[in-house]
Amino acid sequence: MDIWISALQTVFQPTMLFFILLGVMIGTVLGAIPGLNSTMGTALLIPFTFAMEPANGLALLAAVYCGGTFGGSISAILFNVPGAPEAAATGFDGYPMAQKGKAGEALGYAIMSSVLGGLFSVLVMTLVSPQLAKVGLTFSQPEYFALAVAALTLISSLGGAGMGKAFIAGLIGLFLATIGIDEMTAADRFTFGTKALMGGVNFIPAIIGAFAIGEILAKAEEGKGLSGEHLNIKVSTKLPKIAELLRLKWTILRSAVIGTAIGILPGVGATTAAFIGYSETVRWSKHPEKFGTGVPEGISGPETANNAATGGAMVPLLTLGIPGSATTAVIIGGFLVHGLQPGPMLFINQPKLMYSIFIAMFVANIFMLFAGLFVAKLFANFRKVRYSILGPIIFVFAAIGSFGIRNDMTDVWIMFACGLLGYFFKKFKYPIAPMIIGLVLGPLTEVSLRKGMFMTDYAWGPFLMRPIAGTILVIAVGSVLWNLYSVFIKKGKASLEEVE
Amino acid sequence: MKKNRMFIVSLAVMLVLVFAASGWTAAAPKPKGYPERPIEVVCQYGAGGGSDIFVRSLFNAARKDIGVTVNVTNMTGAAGVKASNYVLGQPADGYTIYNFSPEQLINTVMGREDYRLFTPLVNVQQDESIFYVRGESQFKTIQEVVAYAKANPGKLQFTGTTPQSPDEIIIMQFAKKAGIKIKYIPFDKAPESHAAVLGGHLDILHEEPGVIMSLIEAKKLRPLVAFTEKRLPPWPDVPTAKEIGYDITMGRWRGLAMKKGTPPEIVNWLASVLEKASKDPSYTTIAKKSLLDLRPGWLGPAEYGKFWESEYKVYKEILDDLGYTKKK
Amino acid sequence: MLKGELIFGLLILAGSLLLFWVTGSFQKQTALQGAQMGPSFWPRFLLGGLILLSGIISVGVIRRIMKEKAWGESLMTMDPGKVRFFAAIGLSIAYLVLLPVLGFIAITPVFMIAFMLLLGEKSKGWIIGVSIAMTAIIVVLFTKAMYVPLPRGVWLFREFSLLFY
Repeated sequence: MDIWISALQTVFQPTMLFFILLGVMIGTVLGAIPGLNSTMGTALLIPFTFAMEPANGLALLAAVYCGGTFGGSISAILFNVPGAPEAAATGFDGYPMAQKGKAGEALGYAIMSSVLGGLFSVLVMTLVSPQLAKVGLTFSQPEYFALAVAALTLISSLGGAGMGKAFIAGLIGLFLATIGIDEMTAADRFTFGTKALMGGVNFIPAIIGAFAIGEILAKAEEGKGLSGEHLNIKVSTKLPKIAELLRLKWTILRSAVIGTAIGILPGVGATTAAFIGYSETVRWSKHPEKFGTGVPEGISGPETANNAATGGAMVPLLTLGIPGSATTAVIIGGFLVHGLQPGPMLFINQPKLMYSIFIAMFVANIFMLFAGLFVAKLFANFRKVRYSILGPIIFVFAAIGSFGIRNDMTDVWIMFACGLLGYFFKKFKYPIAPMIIGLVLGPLTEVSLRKGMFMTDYAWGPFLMRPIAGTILVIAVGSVLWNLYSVFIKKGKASLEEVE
Repeated sequence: MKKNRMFIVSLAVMLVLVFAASGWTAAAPKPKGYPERPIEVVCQYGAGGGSDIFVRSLFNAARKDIGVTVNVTNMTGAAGVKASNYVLGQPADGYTIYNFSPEQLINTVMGREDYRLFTPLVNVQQDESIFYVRGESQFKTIQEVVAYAKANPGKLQFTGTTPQSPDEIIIMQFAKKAGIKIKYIPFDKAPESHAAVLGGHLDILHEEPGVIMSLIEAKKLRPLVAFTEKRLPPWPDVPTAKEIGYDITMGRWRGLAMKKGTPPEIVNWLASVLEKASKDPSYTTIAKKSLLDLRPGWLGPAEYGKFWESEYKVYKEILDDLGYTKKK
Repeated sequence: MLKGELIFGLLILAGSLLLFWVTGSFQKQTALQGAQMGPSFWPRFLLGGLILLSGIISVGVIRRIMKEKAWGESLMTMDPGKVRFFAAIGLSIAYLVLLPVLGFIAITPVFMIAFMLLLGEKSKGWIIGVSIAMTAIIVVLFTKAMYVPLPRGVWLFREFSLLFY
């Protein structure tokens, strides 16, 4: 108990609180700008934290991490350009909602869900970190495979287009993920002898292209809505009312649990958490066909999950020294400059520091409410700009945002190619979301399958007959079969391509 | 505590002797008009990894002598080929420095890039390869591992970072010399391999001690054998591979290179600046924590070039021997 | 529209068949292990699925075309919308090609002005102000604040870019 009091005293000091607020602000802004992200932010801040007290420095880094995970959703909702990978799923429903003139509400849902998800996971982390880390380690390749499959089955229930086309889009996404050097054998795949494609198709440029560039091209062709229309739109960020939040209670709770759990796993991070959060929200919804048209659950589901994963990811980091995401990998550097190494010994040697970080993250999530509102308001002003000016700005940000990830023009071309693909998808009524889901989850699915099968000497029995993996797979496959059944048998529709 | 200090002092003395003996002493003169704008250091591995920490901590120490900003760019993917191509695409004017690692030599053997297009700068670290099992593992010694593998061919699962990496080479070399058949299951991100061994899903981990020191101290990972010349001071009970009859001494080295054609006076000046930085406390504290001070790693430009040649031959031989290279 | 949809479906089908054929040339597993699920296992599974589904979809579209006897409008006619669409694509490609040659700071304002004109923006003040201001903001934000390198271009353009970043 004493340790808690002294940790509280560490955190509730003006300098510490200032650093936490600063960190959340920096993180949110970086997350919202395509091409910049919290991973870069933390890497750049580490030399500065060298001169600070360890607790202050680490709280600053953790706050940047929390803010950055939320920030991406601002640009995803307002411009359909996710500023950070974690926000890729938030745009699925966030942008359509903003299109309906409800950008303020969409941002409000995103902020509120982020804060609640973040608080939930920090609470869980504080109470049962070491035990959770042990549970996380029991996950091996078959479990990762089951998780990936469960999220992929979402494709079958994404309404709005024919199921056949949704599957084609999903398969294209999964295929794009195989391009480049194979992780298992280092064989070159689909590189056609070029060095440019060896690094594979990064999903951020692909998402930015498929959504934003596809839309710019479509708008250029339409020629409508290019001028004046946005001038009178007032975007004021509105936090959801209590009644509206209560309606989302199960979505938020489910996604908070999923996000925290996935954050704890060493092999996957907040991006996967967001997609699985979205997937499960659709699965348990009473009206799955409405997703993708701008429903609050579609924002709340992924946004709660990805922020819950930030707290979750700190569990393996602090207890085992195993980073669950790119940003936490950088935060390790923040410990090292102070001569500390994250891992089991840190809990024994520096308990006060550990608990200070926990409390600081809790405070950071509360500050995010204000920082989020402020930054969202700032960016929302851009929506008032007419499209003939906004379009070119978005294009330049899309290009630089893709370039900035690996400083490589290849990514920019991939972005543009996916933009063309996105345009044709839109034109011929192929849904884009399944392609993105496939692209994001592709590497996890393939590698966990092949690695897992290799570990079990290519016997399916030991691969599938595991309590956790088996249960997840049964639920996932069961829900697909149920979907197929209800579409083809109940509604009496006969052929795959006619299901609209 | 006192004993500890003695140890550090003697180590420091040893280090100084080693540096003195390596023949790189006279400081090179500063080239005219260089550097006049920020220098970019390209690292082909992700932020937070061993190589990333290496370049960042070294250039943090070197910054004040270099006199201009030094920016580290992480450019991951394709086993470093991507970053190599980027560096080769920049002019050879001394403003782009590359974190050069054994992968570049392996990639040359595999025909993916050509290390001869770089000019050596310096080698700074020589890390230690160690095999570990998790704390609860049934294996107490490396001999038990070999005996088990002989009784159950193809059952034992080893893990390390990326396919066709120095990790895989050292594991396969060990397997060959011990006459055992094992599986190698690589991960692209090192921490995932640690998790797989900690969770008991895989049996044996290959890793350098630095990044997992806390896990070793907490006895969650137990070192079994070290591929070093001498036993490592923190674990006097852990035998070297040589002692138990497998003559393998290997480990990842970390150094720097530039594009071929960079003016020699720039190379020499940077080398002398970096040598000074490598002795700076802000670098050595991090290096010492990761046991990077145990094996003399420092090589000047000329020696480093010769080192590449000899290492290339070694890798080529091993890769041919293990059957990785295409049979013509 | 049906004609276009059919062409798109058939393109996916043809592409998948071609790529399936490419998987045959993947470097054969040279290491001792992992042979049963080598590098071509998973792509083949995916491409097989794509071939099957795009085939079904294409057949479905053909059936619909037969039933409705409607080919949709000809793809060859050029209306102002299509002209703008292809101009936008041409402009984008030109921008991306020139980016590494001329550098970010030299080409971006030109591209933005051209794109705004293409989208029908009339206000000269906005066009010039926004294109120069956005370029400046991005240069400062990315290269000065975050050390993200932007393309600098080659030769004289490189020297020009180096004046700023």
